[in-house]
Amino acid sequence: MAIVIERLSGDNRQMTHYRFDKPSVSVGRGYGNDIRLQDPYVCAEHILIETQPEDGTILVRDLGSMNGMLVNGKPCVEAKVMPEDVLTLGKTRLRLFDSHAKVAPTLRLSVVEAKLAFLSDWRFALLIALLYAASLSYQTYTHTFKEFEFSSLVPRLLGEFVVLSVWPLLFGLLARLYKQDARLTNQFALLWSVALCGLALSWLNRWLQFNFPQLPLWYWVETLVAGGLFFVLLWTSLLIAFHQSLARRNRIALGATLIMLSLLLGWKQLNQASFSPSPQYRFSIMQPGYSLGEGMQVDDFIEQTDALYQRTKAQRDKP
Amino acid sequence: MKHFLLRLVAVLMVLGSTLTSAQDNAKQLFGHHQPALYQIRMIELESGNKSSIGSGFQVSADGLVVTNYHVVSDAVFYPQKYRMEYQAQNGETGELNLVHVDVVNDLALVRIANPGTEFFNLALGLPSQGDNIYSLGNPHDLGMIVVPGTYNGLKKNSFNAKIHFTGSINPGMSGGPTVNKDGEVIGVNVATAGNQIGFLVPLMPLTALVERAQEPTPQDFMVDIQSQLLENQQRLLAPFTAQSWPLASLGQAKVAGEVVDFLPCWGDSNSNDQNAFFLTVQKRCRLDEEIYLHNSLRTGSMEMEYEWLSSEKLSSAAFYNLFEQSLQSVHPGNNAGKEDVTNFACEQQRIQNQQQMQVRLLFCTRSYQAFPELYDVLILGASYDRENQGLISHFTLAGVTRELSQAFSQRFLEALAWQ
Repeated sequence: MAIVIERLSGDNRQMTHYRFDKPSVSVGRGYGNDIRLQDPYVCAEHILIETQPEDGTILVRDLGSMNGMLVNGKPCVEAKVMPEDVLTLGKTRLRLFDSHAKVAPTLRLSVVEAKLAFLSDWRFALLIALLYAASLSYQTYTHTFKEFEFSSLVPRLLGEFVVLSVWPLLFGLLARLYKQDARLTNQFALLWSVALCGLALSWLNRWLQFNFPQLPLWYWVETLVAGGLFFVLLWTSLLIAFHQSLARRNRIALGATLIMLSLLLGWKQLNQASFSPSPQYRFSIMQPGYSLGEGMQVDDFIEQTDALYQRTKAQRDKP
Repeated sequence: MKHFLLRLVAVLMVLGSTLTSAQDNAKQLFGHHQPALYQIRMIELESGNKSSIGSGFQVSADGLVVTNYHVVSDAVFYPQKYRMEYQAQNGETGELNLVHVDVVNDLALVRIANPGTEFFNLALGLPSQGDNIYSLGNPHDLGMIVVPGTYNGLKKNSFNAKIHFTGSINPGMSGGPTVNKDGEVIGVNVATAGNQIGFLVPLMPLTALVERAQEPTPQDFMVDIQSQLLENQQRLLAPFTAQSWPLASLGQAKVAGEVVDFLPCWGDSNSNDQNAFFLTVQKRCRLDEEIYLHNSLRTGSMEMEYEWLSSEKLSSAAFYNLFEQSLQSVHPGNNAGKEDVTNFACEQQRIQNQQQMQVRLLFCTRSYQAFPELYDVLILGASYDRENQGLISHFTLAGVTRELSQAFSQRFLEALAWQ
């Protein structure tokens, strides 16, 4: 049996770890201590930690220090400490327990983690970034209805880069705060991939809207796909940034996605309920090559509008 | 210089003399008919004060008074919020009762409980162009006045006839009579287009309305108004639904030519813009008149718009992006508020007409809260079968039945073609 002493950060995370195979350990600022703290508020001989041979409990004793000793914030001269108690000497925080204390169960490595190894290759990140930039440039080009200037492209690309970078940088920073690798290459590669998927999906959406504007429940499909994409992005970002259990990661990603979706749907609902003097719609049209089959005959279409008149009539009769 | 001054004085003298005779006539008329003129007021019940004013004139010994429908519309639509009151020239006030309305011609017939003995006779016919006529009314609540002016015939290409009056008609004079030199009513003041151009409801609908006084007052004015609107729409749209429309070219497309003479069209293009990457040619046709129902609701309007776009400088993808951008908003032609109509319900579809034009289409309609038979309908269409050119087609109709608007839509969509 040995005494384990952890020096803690402000939020009780372990900073340094000591292990002593002897019954008593002294702590203070003096050079003769087993653990020397460089805290100016700690005395040369501050406390003594002892284990009781009979039951293995750990006892701490203040050796008459100037600033005293706090156990869980309460001043004590002598105390029996449990593994969860936090000891404060000056401005230093310690936790004491014996080496038999149980550690949390091992986390299983995510299978996805191994499959995402390619994300850590900077060449992949660069390739995806270039692809995304090329797609954006093409989009800008086909939305310019005057002389196209490459110089006008730069602010657009830079702006997009800066705005999108917030996400990977945020996760990198959070990871560092939690004492883990930032893994920025992975985060950036992931973000560009998702952004590229987003572009492709919005193009597909436009094509479907153009060809099949009357697809039932289309709005729901669209919203769910957008939610799915967000879920994948958040889930994978969490996987890259943090060491957490699968269940916890699922919970966070699902929770955030649901919040986002409910905000979107709530907004839509709010808009739908309010009166608008003009029609609310989105019009999609594409070049001749992108249409599937021919349109309806005029007469058939006109006949079909009966239902529309019925719908407004029902809306009118609604109390 | 001296000659010029002399000439000017001479001209002024001549002008002065004609003006004096007109003024004499006006004075006489005004003095004689003043007791038959009333100010018509809407009294807001909650505050007990007048919320709007207009003019009116007595047309029978038993107290029938004619005014504009728009002067009394608040009391027709919101009887629980407003009541009607008149004020006679001697300052006497009293209640008014609604007898009949004609929303299409903007006329209303009301009855005064204790009428005076003076009243206006209706003329038997319209004067001839250039005749002096006199408009009476109470502009801006300043008191009853008389405005001498000139009869200039009926307004050209107007769907519902209006007299063109050269003279100033101001707010508050609405509902006042315009009389010929014998003091007989030839029209009712209704609108102004600024700069001495005024419009009057002519004799014919006025006579018809006064004759309707024999018929009982409608139980429900909404039903009565709806049937007037239905009749008006039938008359307006019949020429459009009777047969297929003649085609006229617009750029390399063909669109509806002139179907009726009362729908004026205007054109525009950017062909003189050397730097433009695309060419746009537009044609807009809009009915000059609409029917006022109340403060936030107008109907009876009609618009048709076409825009032909083409570009040799843009790629096909860019051209269609441009095309798509100009299709993202569309507005109805008439004003209507939350209390008056439902939201638009829309349907989108790809269609192909008999001219083999492929059109991506938006079709929207909304219904009126007070009139179960009536709808506003609009279409926005865009061709998608040519690489670098396209035709945008759009119409809005206000206050039409399902059958008529569907028949109109069918004709409209078939009148789109490539050259």
